Amino acid sequence: MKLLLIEDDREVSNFIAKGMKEAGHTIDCAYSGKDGLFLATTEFYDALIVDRMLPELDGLKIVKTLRGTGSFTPVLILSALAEVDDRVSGLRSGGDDYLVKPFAFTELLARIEILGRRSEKQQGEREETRLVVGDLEMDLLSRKVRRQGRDIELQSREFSLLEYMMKNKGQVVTRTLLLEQVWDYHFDPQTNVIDVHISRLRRKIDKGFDKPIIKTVRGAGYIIET
Amino acid sequence: MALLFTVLCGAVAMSLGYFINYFAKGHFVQSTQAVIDSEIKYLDALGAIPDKKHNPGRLYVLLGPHGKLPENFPQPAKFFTEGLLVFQLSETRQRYAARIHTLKEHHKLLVGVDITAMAENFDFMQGIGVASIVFVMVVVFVSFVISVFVVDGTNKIAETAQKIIHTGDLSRRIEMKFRWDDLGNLANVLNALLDRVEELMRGVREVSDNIAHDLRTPLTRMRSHIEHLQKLQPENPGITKLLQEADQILNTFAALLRISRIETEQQRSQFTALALDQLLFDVLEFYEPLAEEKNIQLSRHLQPTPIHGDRDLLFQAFANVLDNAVKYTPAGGWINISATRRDERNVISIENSAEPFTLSELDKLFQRFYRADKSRSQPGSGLGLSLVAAVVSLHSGQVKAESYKGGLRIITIL
Repeated sequence: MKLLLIEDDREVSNFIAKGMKEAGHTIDCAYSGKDGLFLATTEFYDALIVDRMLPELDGLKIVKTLRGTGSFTPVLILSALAEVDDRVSGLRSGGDDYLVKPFAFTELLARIEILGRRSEKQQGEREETRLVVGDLEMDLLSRKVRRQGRDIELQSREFSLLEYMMKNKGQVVTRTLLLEQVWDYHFDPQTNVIDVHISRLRRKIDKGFDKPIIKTVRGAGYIIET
Repeated sequence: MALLFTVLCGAVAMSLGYFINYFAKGHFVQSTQAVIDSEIKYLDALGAIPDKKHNPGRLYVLLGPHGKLPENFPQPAKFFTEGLLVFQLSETRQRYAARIHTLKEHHKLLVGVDITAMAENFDFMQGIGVASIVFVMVVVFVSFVISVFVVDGTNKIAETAQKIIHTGDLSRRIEMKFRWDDLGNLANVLNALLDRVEELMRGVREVSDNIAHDLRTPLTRMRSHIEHLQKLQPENPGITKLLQEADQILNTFAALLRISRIETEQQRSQFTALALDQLLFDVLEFYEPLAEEKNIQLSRHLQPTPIHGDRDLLFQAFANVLDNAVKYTPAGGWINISATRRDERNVISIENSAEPFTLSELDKLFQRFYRADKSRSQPGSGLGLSLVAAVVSLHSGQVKAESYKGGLRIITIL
C-alpha cells in the first residue's frame, strides 16, 4: 500500500515510517498540515494517517478539506485526545478510524491495513454470503459453520467474532479492534477477556483438527489463515 | 410564601385600624358621658335650670308629660350607648349629646352638651384609622408585588444554578429583566463569578489537554523505542516486562485523565435513550467466559430498565464493577446481578461472594488509587471504581458499596 503520514513529531513519524516500510508498505511523511494537505491532494494514496494536533493546519481541517474535494481515501486520525467526544468529532469530520496516542505500532498497522483493504473491496466486490478459510466454511445467511464437512455449533457472539476474523483473513486483528467491531462498545477491559473468548472459540473450531486456524500474533493480536 | 406574608400583613392592618377606631370611640363616649354627668350634678346642686346665656354650649329642654320631645325638635340621629342621645340642631349645625334627667318635681329635662369639637376629634381619629388601614393595605400590596418580583428573581437564580449543575454547561448566565435593583446586582455578581469559573475551567481543561499532548507524545516515543527493542530481542523477558510497565503507566495516566474529564466537563452530548438491561446483558456476556474459567456461578435478574445515558461510559462503568467482581470472587463463588425499576429510577445491584469488608474499607472503595489490602496481589490501578463513581454522577445517580451475606454488593441507582 502507498501511505501518507502527516505528523509533526519527527521521532514518532520516523518510528511509524520505519515500521510501515518493514511491513512492506511505501510511505511519504509530511511534518506540517500544509505540506500534508498539498501531498494528499496532488498524489494518490491508499490510506492517510493524520495527526490531529498539527502546526499551521490541524488534522480535522485537513480531513474536512479533503472530503470537500471529493476524495474518499481512507483516513486514520491519530490523537492525544481520548474522550468519546473527541473521537466522535474526529470521525464526524470525515475520518474513518481514530487511534489514541500512545498506541502500539501493531495496532496502527492492523488498522491501516484493514482500512486499505476495505477501500479496495468497496471498489469492486459485492457483499459475500459465504466465507471460506482453508477447510473452514461460514454461511452468513443460514449462520452455519462447517469444518471438513462437520457442523460446528457457535453462540451468536462467537459467530460474530469468527465472522469478523474470517472477513479479514490473513490480517492481524488486534484485541481493541475486536472489541470495537464485534462488541460494538468503546471501552477498556481491565483484563484480557478477549483472550478468553478467543480460546473458547478455538476450543470449538480447532479441537479435533490437526491444524489450528486461529493463530496468536505475539504482542499484536490474532490472525486467521491457512 | 409571598401570599402568606401578604395575608398576615393585611390581617395586622385590619386589626390595627379596628383598634384605633375602637379606642377612639370608647374615649369619645366616655368623655361625653363624663361631661353630661358633671352637668347633671351641677344642675342638681343648682336646683334650677340655669340661664342659657351663661352656659354656652349647653342645651336644656323641658320635656312633655310623657317624656316626649317637643314637636319642632330634631329627632335623635342615633343612640351612642344606652341613655345617650345624639342629634344635630339644624339651624346651627351644632351637634349635641344629651341625656334625659328627671328633676325633683318629676319633670323630665333633656340635658345636652355641645360635642361638635369632640365629634370632630372623633371623626378625625376615625379618619386616621381608615387612612392607616388604607395606607397599610397599599404597603401590603406593594410589598406583595415586590415579593413576587423577588421570589421570581431568586427562582431564576436557583433555576440557572440547577441547570449548570445538571448540564455542566458553564456558559449559561442568569438573565434578569432589571439591572437596577439589588437582585439585578446579585445576578450581575453571580454572572461575573460564573465568567471567572468558566475561565478557570477552560484553563484547567487547557492544562490537562496540554498534559495529555505533551506527555503522551514522549510516552508514545518511549513506548515505540521499547517496542523496537523488543523486535530486536524478541526473547528478552526484561523488555517484555518493560513494555508491560510502560503500558501500565499509560493506562493509569489515561484513566486519571478520563475521570477528571468526566468530572469537570459533565459532557452529555453522547446521551441517548438506552435499554440498560440490554447493556448489562452485554457486559455479563462479555465476562461470562472469565467467570466460567474460575467456576463462578453467574445469575441474573434483569427487568426492563430504560435510561438516557452515554452507552460507552455506562458499559465501561459496569464492566469495571463486573471485572472487579470476577477478579475478587474466590473460585467456586457466585455473582448475582439484578436490574429493577423502582420509583421511576433504575436500581442495579451487583453482588459477589468475597471476604467481608470493614466499614472503613467500604467507604474508601470509590476513592482514587485506593486498593483494599486483599486486592494488592491482583493487578489494577485502583481507579476502576473511581471511574464508576464519576460516570454514575454524570448520570445524576448514586452508587454505594455494602457488605452482604458474606460478600460485597455494589448498588447503583440511575
